[in-house]
Amino acid sequence: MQSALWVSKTGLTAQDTKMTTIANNLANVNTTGFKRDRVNFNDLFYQTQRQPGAMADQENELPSGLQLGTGVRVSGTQKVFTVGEILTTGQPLDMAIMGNGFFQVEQANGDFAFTRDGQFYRNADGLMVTSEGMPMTPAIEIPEEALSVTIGSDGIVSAQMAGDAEAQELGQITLVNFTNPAGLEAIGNNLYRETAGSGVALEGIPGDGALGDLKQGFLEGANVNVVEEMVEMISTQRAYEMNAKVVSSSDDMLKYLNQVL
Amino acid sequence: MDKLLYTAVSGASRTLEAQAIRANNLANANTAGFRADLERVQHHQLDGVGQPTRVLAQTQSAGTSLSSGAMMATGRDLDVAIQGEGWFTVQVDDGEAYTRAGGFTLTDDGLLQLDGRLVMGIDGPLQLPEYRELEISKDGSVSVMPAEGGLTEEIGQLKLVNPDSALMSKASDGLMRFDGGVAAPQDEEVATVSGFLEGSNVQAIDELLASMNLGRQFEVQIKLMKSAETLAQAGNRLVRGS
Repeated sequence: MQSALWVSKTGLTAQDTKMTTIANNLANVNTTGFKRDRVNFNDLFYQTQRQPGAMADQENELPSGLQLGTGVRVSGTQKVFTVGEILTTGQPLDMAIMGNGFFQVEQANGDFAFTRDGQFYRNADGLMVTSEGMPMTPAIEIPEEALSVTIGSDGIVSAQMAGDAEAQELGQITLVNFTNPAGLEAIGNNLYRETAGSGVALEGIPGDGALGDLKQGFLEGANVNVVEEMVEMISTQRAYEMNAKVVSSSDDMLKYLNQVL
Repeated sequence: MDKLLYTAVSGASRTLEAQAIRANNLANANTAGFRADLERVQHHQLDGVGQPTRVLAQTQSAGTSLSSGAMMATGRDLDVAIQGEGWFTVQVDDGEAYTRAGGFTLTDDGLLQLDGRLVMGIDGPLQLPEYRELEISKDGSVSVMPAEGGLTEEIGQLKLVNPDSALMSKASDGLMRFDGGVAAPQDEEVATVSGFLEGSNVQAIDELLASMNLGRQFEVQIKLMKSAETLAQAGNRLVRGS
């Protein structure tokens, strides 16, 4: 059968995947700590129908051969870890990371997960937890009698107790970093999981190296640029239509062949 | 059997091959750094008994279009585009290959790679330490501020080449080779810009028009095949005498 049909089919599939990613980026435009995904395309391998330099006859060589490409493939999606917009919230347990670090939380199964979403809450036991109730690691416990909680830029959490003039230190928030953050696996709920591609988590105190300082009372918004996504959406849609056009044009050719002969 | 039929078949199958090349270009209209494939048709005269009427058509690759694609701002440190002419170098099994797609990624040990292939610097593959900030300058030098802070240090320089384009050809993996696989020399004139990716250089409208045009050409060839059939039937009728 005609290869143009299959080639265009790969184009349609790839554009469709890209559209899904754009839709997901736009859907998460207001998700705290969300990092946009990017789809990478690659051309598929080429089939050599006639080798350049092959003999056309005993005397002459073919000046150029014939290579037919076989379409496009999605080589992968990639999280783009640029910094999102910093929003003021004034909430004492909201934190934004002014660098490349991640918060570390413990999942229900005991595995660690990593997040840029600095929106934490206090649970019934006074522990600092994410909106999904996962405790932050190392655990920070805020006593019941705490009047106000202060988180320093270096991650030291202290609380002012009722009837106590001096602030009491509650613990130290640590951040982790990866050699290749793009290799992290997104598992939903704003969380990432360590993989062989990301390298191991390197733990440190906020402000150390590339980890970045903590800013209490701020949150990091999504790094989705709406205009950029819209432009991508238009170009994806048009590319989809053009590939569909080639499918229908190839179909017409075959239809004509069947009807006339 | 009438030769007309075979001449028409050569035209029709050439059209299908050309259609496949156009379809591949359109499928890659959004592939970063993709260079469009060109096609051309060559005539093949078949000499034989009688008049030289049989000229068959054959599609040939006419190389790759080397015009620049549109620059897309991405703001990502590891996205690099080449302004004007030039190529990035990646390591492949049989030596070096060249590409315009500059969306670099890192492996878990900090090696710079492009779609699973190591990116070559002047002194071999580039490896980045853990860094706080990264900058790729106009000449392709990669400098990082180490994770612990301090002065920015230069890690290496991307191997950028700009050899004679007549000797560049696309291999079956879609990457370009120089002169059949020879390593091209570093070229200081090639300018890069960080934070941008170069799009595909496929002219979607041209490809679409060419594809529609090929569709019509195909119909003409089929019409000729039909004529050949009609002629043959007329001949058969004469022989049968009915």
